[in-house]
Amino acid sequence: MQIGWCVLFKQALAIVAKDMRVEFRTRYALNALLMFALVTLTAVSFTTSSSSTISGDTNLLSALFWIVLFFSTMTGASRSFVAEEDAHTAPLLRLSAGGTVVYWGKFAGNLMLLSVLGAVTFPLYVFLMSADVGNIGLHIVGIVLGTIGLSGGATIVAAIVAQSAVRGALFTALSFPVLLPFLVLAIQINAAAFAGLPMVEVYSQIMGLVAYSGVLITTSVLLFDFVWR
Amino acid sequence: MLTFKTDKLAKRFGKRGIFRNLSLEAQTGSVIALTGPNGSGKSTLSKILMGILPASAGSVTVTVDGRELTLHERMTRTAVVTPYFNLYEALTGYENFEFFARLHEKSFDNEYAERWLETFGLAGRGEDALGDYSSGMRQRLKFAISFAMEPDMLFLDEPGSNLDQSGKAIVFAEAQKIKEKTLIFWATNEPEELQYADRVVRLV
Repeated sequence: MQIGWCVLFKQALAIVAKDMRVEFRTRYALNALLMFALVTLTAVSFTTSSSSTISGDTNLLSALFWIVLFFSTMTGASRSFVAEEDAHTAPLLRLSAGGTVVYWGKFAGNLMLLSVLGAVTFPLYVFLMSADVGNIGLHIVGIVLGTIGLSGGATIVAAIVAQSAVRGALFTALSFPVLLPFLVLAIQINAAAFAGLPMVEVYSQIMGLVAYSGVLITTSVLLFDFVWR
Repeated sequence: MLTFKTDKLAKRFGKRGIFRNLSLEAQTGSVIALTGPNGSGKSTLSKILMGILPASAGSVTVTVDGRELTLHERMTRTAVVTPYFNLYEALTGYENFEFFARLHEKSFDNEYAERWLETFGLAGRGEDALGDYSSGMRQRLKFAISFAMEPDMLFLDEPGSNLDQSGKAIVFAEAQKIKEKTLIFWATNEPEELQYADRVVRLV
């Protein structure tokens, strides 16, 4: 389906604005994401508060952080499509906008939600785990790139599972293999950041994350029409 | 002038054939009624004609002045009203209006929307959330939005459902007004609705 960039941008923006309005009023996805993050963060911090090895082990610190982010994403990100199917609004959306437009609109919406999640979770995690921040710039790079990748992967998987009967279980099961490379690379980047290493030490991981995001998002855009129609 | 053409269209669900060899040609200014008993495939045919369901065989082509439209062009020129497709409950009447106007690349303001709401008996309800509308009012809002998009093709699936007599009268009157510039498909079993059609496609 061929449409101009300007039209694509305007229509995707209309979808993001609509989704944000609906989310602002229902607060379903944001509440689910933040509550899950808060509960898991609290549980992790209570369990590990007496252990000095956790806050000293940068790999473990980073892995726990990304586990919290990943599973929080799984609880809320699928709503972008599931809500449309449940409310029977998806058919009109299908008729009114092409697959590419819908993918970019939903991707941007998920990106905004996950950005809020990352921005709230990271400082809370550092505080509750009494961890040394280390290289804050590298943390931001890792979280931003990881969030873009998570959003890109979660959007296409959410569109696939929205049309199935067992959505919750399927979303996590399908997302895991797609998003595993992200998780591994993002964990390595944030582990280096917790250790206070300079960016150059994890340059290949950063490039890997950029490349994987690029491939996943491009493939998703190309395939989305087949999933969405 | 928009020309809509289907060539030997067929649809099967597994081993069950719904219809086959359906060839049809229609132009702007026509009202085509799709009718048949329950389960005969009226809604399925409507969805194929709209472009949201693939046919098992055959083709659908839409041309404007001889040029074939892409799927995206077809969709932006199409509006649909059916009791099975919903608008957004959390949004107000105006916000639903604005969302679909932006997707259909139409300019929007509340005044324009209000004129259409007034036409369909919803004057002053534009600021209300859709969740506060009755089922009949929701159906009227769908009509208001669809007609306001000034579509080249309009699909009305069971247009009288959820509407009272005055609602039906408004829909038929407005359909007559836009008929000159629009190709209307009308899926129904109501004899009173069939009389507005220029041509009737009966599915068995």
